[in-house]
Amino acid sequence: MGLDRRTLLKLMAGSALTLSAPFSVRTASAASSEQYFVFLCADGGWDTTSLLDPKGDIRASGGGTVNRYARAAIKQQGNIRYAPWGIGNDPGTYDYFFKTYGRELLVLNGIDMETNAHPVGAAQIASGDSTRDFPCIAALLAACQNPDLPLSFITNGYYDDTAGLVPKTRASDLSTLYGLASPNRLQPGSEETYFDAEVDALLSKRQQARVLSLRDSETLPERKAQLKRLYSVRKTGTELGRILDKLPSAMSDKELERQAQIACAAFSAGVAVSANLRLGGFDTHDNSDKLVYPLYHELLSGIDFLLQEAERQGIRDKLTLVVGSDFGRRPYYNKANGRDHWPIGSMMLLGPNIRGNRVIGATSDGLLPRKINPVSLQLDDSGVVLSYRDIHLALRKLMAIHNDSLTKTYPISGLTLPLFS
Amino acid sequence: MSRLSPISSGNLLKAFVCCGLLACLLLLPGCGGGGSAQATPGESNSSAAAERPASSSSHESSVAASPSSNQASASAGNNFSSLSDHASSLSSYTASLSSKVASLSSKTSSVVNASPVSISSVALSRAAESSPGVSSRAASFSSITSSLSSGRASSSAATSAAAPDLVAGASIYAEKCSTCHGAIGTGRIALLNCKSCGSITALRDVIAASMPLEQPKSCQGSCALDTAGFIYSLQNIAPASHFNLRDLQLLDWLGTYRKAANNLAGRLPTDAEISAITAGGEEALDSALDNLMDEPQFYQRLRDIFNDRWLVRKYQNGASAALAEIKLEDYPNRDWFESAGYSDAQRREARSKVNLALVEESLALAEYIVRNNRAFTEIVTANYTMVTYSMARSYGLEGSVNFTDPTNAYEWQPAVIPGFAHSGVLSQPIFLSRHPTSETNKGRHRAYIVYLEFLDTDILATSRQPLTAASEAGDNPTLNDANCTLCHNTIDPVAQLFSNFQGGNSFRPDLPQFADMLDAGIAGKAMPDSYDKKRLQWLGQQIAKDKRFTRAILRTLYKGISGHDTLSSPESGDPKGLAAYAAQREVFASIEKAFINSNYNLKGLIKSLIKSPYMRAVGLNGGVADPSLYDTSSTAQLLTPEMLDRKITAVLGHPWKRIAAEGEVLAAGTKHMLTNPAYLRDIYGGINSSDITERNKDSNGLMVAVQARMANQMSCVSVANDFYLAKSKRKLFPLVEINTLPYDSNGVDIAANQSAINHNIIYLQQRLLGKADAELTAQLYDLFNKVRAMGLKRIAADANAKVLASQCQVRVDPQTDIVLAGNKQIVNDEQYTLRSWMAVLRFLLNDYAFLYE
Repeated sequence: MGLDRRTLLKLMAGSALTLSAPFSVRTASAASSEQYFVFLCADGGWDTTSLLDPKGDIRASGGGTVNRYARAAIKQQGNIRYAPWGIGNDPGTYDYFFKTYGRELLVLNGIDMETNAHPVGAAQIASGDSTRDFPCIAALLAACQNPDLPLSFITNGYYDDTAGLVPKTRASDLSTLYGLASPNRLQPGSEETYFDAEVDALLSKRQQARVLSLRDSETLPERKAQLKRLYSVRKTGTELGRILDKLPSAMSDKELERQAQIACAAFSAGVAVSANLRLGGFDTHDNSDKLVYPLYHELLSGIDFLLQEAERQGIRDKLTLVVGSDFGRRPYYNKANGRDHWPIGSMMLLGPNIRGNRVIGATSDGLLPRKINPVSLQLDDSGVVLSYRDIHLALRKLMAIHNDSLTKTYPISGLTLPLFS
Repeated sequence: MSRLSPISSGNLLKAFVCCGLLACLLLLPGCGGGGSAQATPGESNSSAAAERPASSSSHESSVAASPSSNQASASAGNNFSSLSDHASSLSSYTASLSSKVASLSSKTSSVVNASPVSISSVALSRAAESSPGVSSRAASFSSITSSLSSGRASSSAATSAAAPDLVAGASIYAEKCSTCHGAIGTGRIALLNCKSCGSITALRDVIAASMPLEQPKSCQGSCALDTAGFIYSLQNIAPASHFNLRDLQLLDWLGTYRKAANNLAGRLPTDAEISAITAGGEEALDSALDNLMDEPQFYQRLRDIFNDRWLVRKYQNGASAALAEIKLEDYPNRDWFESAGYSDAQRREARSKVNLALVEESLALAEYIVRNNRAFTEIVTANYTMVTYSMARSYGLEGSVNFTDPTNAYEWQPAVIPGFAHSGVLSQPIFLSRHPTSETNKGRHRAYIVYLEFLDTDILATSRQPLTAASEAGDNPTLNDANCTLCHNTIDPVAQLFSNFQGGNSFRPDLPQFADMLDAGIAGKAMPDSYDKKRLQWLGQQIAKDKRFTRAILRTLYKGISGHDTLSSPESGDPKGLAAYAAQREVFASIEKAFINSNYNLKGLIKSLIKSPYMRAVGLNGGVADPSLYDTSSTAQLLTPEMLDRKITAVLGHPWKRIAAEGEVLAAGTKHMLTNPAYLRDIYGGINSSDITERNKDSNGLMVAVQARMANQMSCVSVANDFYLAKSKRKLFPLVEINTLPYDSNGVDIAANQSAINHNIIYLQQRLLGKADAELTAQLYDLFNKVRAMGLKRIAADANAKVLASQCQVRVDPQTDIVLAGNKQIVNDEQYTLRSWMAVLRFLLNDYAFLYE
C-alpha cells in the first residue's frame, strides 16, 4: 500500500488543491442504490487460452502448439477449467482466484466478437454494439438509474462513450477527491474558508437561480440542454462531500486497486452508480507468455482487491462485476513469440443475480466457437454462436434496464438467452 | 504481375461493399470537380504536375466571401450573406424530396418479389441480425425498391442513350454500397448532396472512374449506369423540413471577434480592436483576425488542436519518453548531451529539451506551414522537417541548420536530414511511434490513421463487415478471403506504403514491400516504381490531391475550435438530422472550396469557420415552429482546461496556480492548476494523449467542484491585489475604491458611489462574460449589498471577522513580490467591501457564460 491518509493530507497541503478537512464533513446520507456495476476491461485483447479457455500443448494449425503448458496440466475448480499457472495462495494466482470465487463466477467462452480491430472490439464488448455514440453499458445503467449523482458514471478509460446521457468522471486520484469535496476551504485540516458559510450558501443559491434563468430564456436546444445538465450536476455537487467519509485510509500503489478504491467509496457514499475499470497491456504481439501471466496476476489480484473493498464498504452484495476484453488472441504463436488478434473472446461475470460455477460456450481446439442451444445453453451443433450482442441483451435484463426508454433508444439485435438464470 | 486490385468477376461486386461510392460522396458538392495542392518546388513533395483546383460549377456562395459588412446585434438576425442562398436551396431541395418520398411510398411492393435480381430477403434479414436498427432501414429500403420497375427505366434525368435498370441498380446498391452509404443513402457516408453530381451520366462516370475506392474502374457499363440510376433516385429520398440557417441569431462582428480572440489567442480584444471593428465591421474583423493569427498564443492553440488528433504529446510524460523512441542506430548523435561535459543538471535540461522538441516536431511543422502561409498540404508532403537546436544535434544536423539563438529551446527551423525521404508528419519518428505497427500489423494501423486523419474516412466505421474466425484460420485471408478483402483491399495498399519504415520508425529505403500483401498504392492507383525508396512521399502527394483531405482538415479545425464534431448523416434517415446535416454540409462545402482556392491557406479556413453560423449562433429568431430542428446548432462549448487557464489569465491578469502552503517554497515555473497533468488537467476533462484521448464535453460532479474552487480561490487572490494597484493599472476595479460604499453609516444612499459600483459591475460583466445586461447588473448589485450586510453584521458581532482569509490578503507587492510595509498591506476588510466584491467576482467566474463559450 502507498500513502496513508496522514501523509496524503500533508502532501496535499502544498499541492494542487488547497484542501478541505476530510474528517469534518457532514454525515453521509446517501440514498441507497439498488445495484452497482463495474465493467473491468483487459485492454488490448486478452489471451483466452492462458486463463479461461485453456487448450494446452495441442498442435496448432500454424505449427507449434496452442499453449506451452501440457494439456494434461489444465486445472479445474468446480465446473471451471483454467490454465495451469500461478499456483499458490497469493490473491493473483489462478488457484487462489478460482478457489475463492469459482462458485460465484460465470465464464462465457467462444464469444464471437466479429472483429480484430481494437476500437471496434472495445466498443462491442463494452456496449454491445459498434455504432458510434452508442453508450457503454456502465454509462447506460448510470443514465437509467441516477444520472444526476455527482460521480454517477466513473471511468478510467477504454470505450466509455456516454451518448451524452450522463457525464463521465475521471477520478483515479484520491488526493484530488479530498481537495475537491469541499471547495470553500483554503487548506486541508483547516477551518479557514474563502467565504463565510452564509455567504457561500447565498452565492450557490443565486448561481443556481442564474443557471435556471439562462436555461429558461435559451432558445438553442443544445445550449438549453447544457444549462439543464449544469444545473443538475451542480445541484447534486454538494453531495460530493459524502465521499470523504468513505475514502479508504490508505491509497494503494497499484493503479487498478486505486481505481477499485475510488469506485467502491463512491458507490458506498451513494454518489456513483457504475464504473469502468481498466488494466492495459494485453495486446501481446511479442513475448506473449512472458507478458501475459504477470498481467493476469495483476488482473486477478485487482479483482480480488475490488471484491474485498466492496465487502469492506458494505456494497458487495449489490455489486455486479463484468470482466472482458476487445477480443481474443490466435491459437498459435507468431515469429515474435507473441499472439496476434483473434475474433473469439471470453468473459467472466459475478454478481447478486448471476448463477456461478458455470461455463457457457466453448471453442474447438482451433479456437473456433462452438454453438450452444439457445434454451439449454448446452453445446449443440445446430444451435447458435454466442455473440457479444446476446450477452449485452442479457446484461440489460439482468440490471432491469431493458425496458427503460433510454435503453430502447439504443437497441441491440441479439438473441435473448437465459445466460444468468 | 501486380498484386494490386486482384479482382475477378466473381468478387468484383463483393469488393464494392466497403467504399462503393465513397469517392462520389467525398467529392461533394461537385463530384466531377478535381483539385490539388499548389506545390512549392523544393519544399514540398507535391508532384510537379500538381494542378490548380477547378473552380467548378455550383455552390459559389462562400462564407469567406460573404459580402455583408453591416454590423448586427445578437438579436437582430444575421449577416451571413450566403444564408439566403443556402436557405432557398435547402428549401426547394427538401420540398422536392418530400414529394418524392410521398410518391415512392405510395407505390406497391410487388416489384421486389417479382424482380429477377430480387433484393434478397435473406440478405436483408442477415443484415437485420447483424446491425441494430437495420430492420427499420431494411423496411425503408424495401419500400423504395418495391417502387422500382424491372428493366430499363425511362428516366427523364438520364441523358445517355441507355436508361438505367433501377432494379438491377438497387440490387447492386443493396449488396455493395449500403454498408457505407446506408440502405437509403443516409448511412455513415451519406449521399445526400450527391444531387450535385448533376445527372445520372455524371454520376455513372464517377462510379465508372473511381468506384469502388480500392478497385476503381471495376464497375463499368451497365453496372455503373444502373447503380447511378438507383442512387440518383435515392437523392430524392430525404425529409421535408424547414431547417433554415436564417432562423439563427448570430453574434455581431465584435462579439464574433471577442469569441475568436479568447478562443484562438486566449486574450480579450484591445480597445483599438474594439474601435476598429465597431467602425469597420466585417472588413475590420478580417484584419483583426489576421493579426490575431500572428500571435504566439494562437500557435500554441493551433498545436493543441492538432495534438488532439495526432496525440503525439503522449511522449511528453517523462523526461525521455520520446528520446527512447529514437534509435541510436538511426541517430548516433541522439545522446550528444551525455558527452558534452555537462553537469548533471545541464544534462537533464538538455535531455528534456530534446525530448520536448521530438514530441512537438509534428505540431511545429503545422505551425511553420500556417505561420508562413504555405499550402497546408505540406503537412503530408513537406520534404523537410522542423528542428530546434538541441534536436538538430540529436539528428546529427549540427552546423547545417542556422539558428538565430541556439539557446532558445523554442526556436524552430526547417531542416532536411540527408538520405531521409521526408513526407511531412507521415515520416516523423514520433508521429510514427504514436501510431505504431508490428511485424504482423504491417502498417495497417498507420493506414487506418492516414484514412482517418487525412482522408476523412473511418475505415472501421464504414466497413463493419463481421469477421469470422473461420476466415482468420484460412490461408492469408487478408489477401484471399472475401470477408477480409472488403476492408483490406483498401487498407493494405496504403499500409504497404509504410513498408519503408518496417520495425517502428526507422527509415529503411531499401526494404522491399511485404510479400504477402497487395502492392503499394491507394484508391486503385499503383505506386510508380520510381517511388520505391520513398513510398510515403508518393502517399503524401496522393493525399494532397484528394478532396477528402480538405474535409478532414476542416473537421479537425472545427472540432478543435468549436468543441463539436461535424455532423454525420443519421443512418436512420431521421428527417431533422438529415436536414441539419445537409445544411451544415453545404456551408462547410463552400468553406472547403474556398480553402482549396486559397491554395490551402489554413488561416483562411479558420477565418471562415469563425465567421460561419456554426460559431456565431447565439439563439433562434422568434417564430421558429420546431426548435428541435436546431438541436445540433450549438455554439457553446465547455472550455477545455487549456482554454480556461488562458481565459483566467486574460481577465484577471494572472493564472490559477498552486498556492504555497505555509512554509513551502514553490519552485520557479510552478505549473498552472488547470494544465498540469499532476493537478487538474485530466480531472477537468482534458486529455493525456495516451489513454485519455477525448475531452469531456460536459461538466461532471468533480468538474463543478473544480469550477467552484477556482472561482473561490481566484476571487480571493484577485480582489485585494487589484485594489492595491493604482486605478489606471487595475484590471478589475478601475471605477471604484475599497471605500466606495453605497450607503453612509446612517444608511443614506450615496448616489455617486452607487453609480460607480454599478458601472464597475457592468465593466466586470463585459470583461468576464463579453457583454453586460441590466438584469444581471441588478442581481449583482443586490448580491454586493446583501453580502456586505451579512458581513457587517458578523463584524459587529466579532471584530476578528474583519480580517481577510490569509490567501486573500496583500502582504507583498503583486508586481514585485517585495514584502510591503505594514501600512501598505491589505489585511483587514472593515467595511466588508473586499469580500462583497469577491462574491461578485466569484459569481462571474463560476458563471455559465464564463465557463462555456
